[in-house]
Amino acid sequence: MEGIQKHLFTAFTLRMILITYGVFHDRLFPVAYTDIDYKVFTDAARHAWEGRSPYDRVTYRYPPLIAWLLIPNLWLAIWGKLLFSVADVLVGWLIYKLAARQGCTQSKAIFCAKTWLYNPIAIIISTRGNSDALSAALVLSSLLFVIQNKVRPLWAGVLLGLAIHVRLYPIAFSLPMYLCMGPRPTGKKKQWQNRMFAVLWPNSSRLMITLACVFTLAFLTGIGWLMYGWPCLDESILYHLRRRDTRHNFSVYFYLLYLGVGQPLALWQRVAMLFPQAILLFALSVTFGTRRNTLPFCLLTQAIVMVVYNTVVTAQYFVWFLSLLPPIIPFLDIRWKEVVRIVLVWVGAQVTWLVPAYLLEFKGSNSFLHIWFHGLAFFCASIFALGCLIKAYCPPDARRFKWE
Amino acid sequence: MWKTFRLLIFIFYINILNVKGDECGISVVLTRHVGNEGFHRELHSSVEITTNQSFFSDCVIVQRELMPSGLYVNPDELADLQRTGQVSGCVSSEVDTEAAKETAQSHEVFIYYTLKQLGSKLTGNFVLPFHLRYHKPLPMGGEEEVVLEAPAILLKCNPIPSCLKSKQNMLAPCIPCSPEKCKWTNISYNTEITSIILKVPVGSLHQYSTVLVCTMITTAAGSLYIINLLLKYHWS
Repeated sequence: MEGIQKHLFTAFTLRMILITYGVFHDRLFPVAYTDIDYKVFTDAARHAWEGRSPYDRVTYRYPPLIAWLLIPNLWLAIWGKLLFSVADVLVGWLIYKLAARQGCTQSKAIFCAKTWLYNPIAIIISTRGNSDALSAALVLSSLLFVIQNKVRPLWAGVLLGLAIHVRLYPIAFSLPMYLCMGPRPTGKKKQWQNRMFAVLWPNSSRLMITLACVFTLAFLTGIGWLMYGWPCLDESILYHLRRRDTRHNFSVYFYLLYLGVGQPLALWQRVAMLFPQAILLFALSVTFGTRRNTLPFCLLTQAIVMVVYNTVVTAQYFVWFLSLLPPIIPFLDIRWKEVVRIVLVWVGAQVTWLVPAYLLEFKGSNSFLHIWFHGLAFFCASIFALGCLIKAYCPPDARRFKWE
Repeated sequence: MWKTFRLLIFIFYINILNVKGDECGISVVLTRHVGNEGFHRELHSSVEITTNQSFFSDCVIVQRELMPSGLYVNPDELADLQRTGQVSGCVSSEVDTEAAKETAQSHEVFIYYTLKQLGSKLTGNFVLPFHLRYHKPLPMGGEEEVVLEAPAILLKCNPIPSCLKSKQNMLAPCIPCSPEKCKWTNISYNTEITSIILKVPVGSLHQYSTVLVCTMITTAAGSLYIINLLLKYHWS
């Protein structure tokens, strides 16, 4: 414990320094360090504090919980950034616990935590005032309650419900979380009907995690709906489902959706857009989501799939899987050369995408077709990277995850 | 034909000057041009007033720009510029910064500035960042045009010179974004370019079927590839 505490402290100090820097930067430079959404949070918190609806602030697309948590922003402008940084450092600690739980030595577990704690992307995101670290901390703590020695389905469910309430995407994790709470394997060969039955049978742990998750989600959403009415549901949930940002982004679907503006998609097109993603999420759930030792890897691969197949993809979405990657690192049988190759391909695809995107955005040249082509290339690079992870993954010893 | 046309323009020009002559004997020249390329632009605007009256140096000018639905000024960005003291202004209504042209609304922007004495002239200027919106694709792609029309220039002096008193005919916020409205004088001006034409690249509907088929095949292939790996490495 001694070792990790030192790094948690250093990581928090680093974030404090950047928060302080941000205060001065915002005063001195025309382009602010603080994220634009942070201002939205503060405005929404002000509305909530003064008895109005936080949804009176345009582009506030979060649950009321965030606005309530950030009410102290009205007197201490950096309060939210401090809160997000605490969540960010907590993510580091959770990564350490998750790695240790999977059987890593302490030094390896600390190494995993360090890849998050000193990750410049993570540091910048939380100190600019972005709330993503909060949902990452909720997802990881829910995961820890499921895979730890003594399973706590109640807490896992409550935290998962909270995570879904804050950010919609963890909803995909509910299937593997449910499946891995399954009955202990008996070793006997059963008929497939019986096996099918056992895979889905709602035992007490499964009932508990489902009820806890659904109740938390319904309770929080219900309160928001009672207090602020329809805009609460529309902005914090439905908006994220129907979001079709037609401006250029990394998504493989960008140009298709832009060309289809104004004409509703045919049914087969909608199916063709949803099906590959849905079938992959399901296949990953049944492959890695039925046992507790492979659950962390299941969530990582599902997060990658959700980002890669999303209709809108920006660099900010990469945080969905960046926090789930570190606890897996010790279980990847992969050479450094291979790692470098994957990173070069994946980052290279982003850089080559940036060229036509820059020409369109800042030079006004008509490079839509090139952006689309590079979007396809980036999709392929991401699928290639996901494939490499799947090939290299060696699950931790299942005996460590016996039911007590 | 051409001669008649030129004559008409000449008469028109004389008329504008005559109107200006009425307003405390001033001549106002507005110069606008757009900087940068692509979707993120800057409107450079400067106004030059020639007058023999002295009170104008205590006046405030509001330039009211009507932003068509094809472009927008980001209110948050404007607030940041105001905070750092670069531009003083306000957007009149809520602006959807994410919408495409087809679903967006036009909006008014009020930019406030004072005049500086420069020799025998009074000048004032500002740089206002704005952004073009995405436009819906055209059958053969290419470019769409967005037209930024000529603005209104409003003047408010304290104390009000007598020659302007009867001409205070426009209501606008007294200071940026204030709910309180003041009376301003709409002054006529001379400018070389009345409307600025901007070009926005748009996608080509001609490519739709190719894009549809290739995108669907790629995403399906990606899915099949991963499922194949799962079967090969973790189910056998």
